[in-house]
Amino acid sequence: MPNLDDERFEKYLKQFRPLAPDGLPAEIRRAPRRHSALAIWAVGATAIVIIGVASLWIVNDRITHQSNHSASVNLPTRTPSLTMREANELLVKAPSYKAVMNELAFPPKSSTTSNDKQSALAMLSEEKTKL
Amino acid sequence: MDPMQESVAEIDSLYREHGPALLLFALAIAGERSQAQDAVHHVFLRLLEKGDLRRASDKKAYLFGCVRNAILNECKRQDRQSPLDDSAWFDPPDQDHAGEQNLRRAIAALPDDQRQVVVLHVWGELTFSQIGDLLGVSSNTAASRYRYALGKLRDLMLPRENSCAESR
Repeated sequence: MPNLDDERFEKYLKQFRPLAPDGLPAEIRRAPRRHSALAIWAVGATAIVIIGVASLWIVNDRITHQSNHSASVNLPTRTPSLTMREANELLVKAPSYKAVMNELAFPPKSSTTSNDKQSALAMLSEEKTKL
Repeated sequence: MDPMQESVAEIDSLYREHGPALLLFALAIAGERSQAQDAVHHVFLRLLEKGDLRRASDKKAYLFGCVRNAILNECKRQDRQSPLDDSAWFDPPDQDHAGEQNLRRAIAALPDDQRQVVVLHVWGELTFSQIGDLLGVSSNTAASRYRYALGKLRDLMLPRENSCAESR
């Protein structure tokens, strides 16, 4: 038979309700999912950056390779082609046949440089004058 | 709803339903609110990490067992049990804060094994069989500890309660 006093006392005790704990932080609760999503995004972004850098590097490498190649190929074509008309003009103007041949073999170099390029010798000479 | 979300929702609901009694049980063992709170949070965060509770046949008893282990491990790690702090454990009826303090002190004055049994039975609403399984004793032992505990609580509390009742 149950002790009524005990029962009443138990009921009295139950009127005191235990305090609730602080809530679980929502960000911790969803941390595993967020971490996995972040990891996927990070891996994707890293892959895109790596691919971008690699493709840029390859394209740059090809461009420099092509420019080097075209520079080496174009070198001989820099010498102007001699036409019959030009040859006749040179023969008329030049004092002698030997002078014509010299001019054709060793064309005068232009001393002018483009705006964006400077002669290293000119720069050095300027430095000397400053000193 | 995917199984992961389902599991999170179930753990959330268990936290809301049993959180207060689990915190009280942790307080009854540890004596200090922050330590008790940490233990309850630790248990639920571990559950959220693992993602399911399906292996536990009796979820409520399992949660109390987890909290008890967490607290005892922490006490063992610190090699001490904290003295009872002054923070409230209960939401008292009719703003009876003096009664709350008396109850808290009376519970704290009980021996460890009786204190755990009384909290598990009154506020955890576990049967003596569940309590016996949890504490590793027989259900009869759990029941007798409860009777002793209840008697002591009554002795400690009722003189003051009676005086309060008479004054009303």
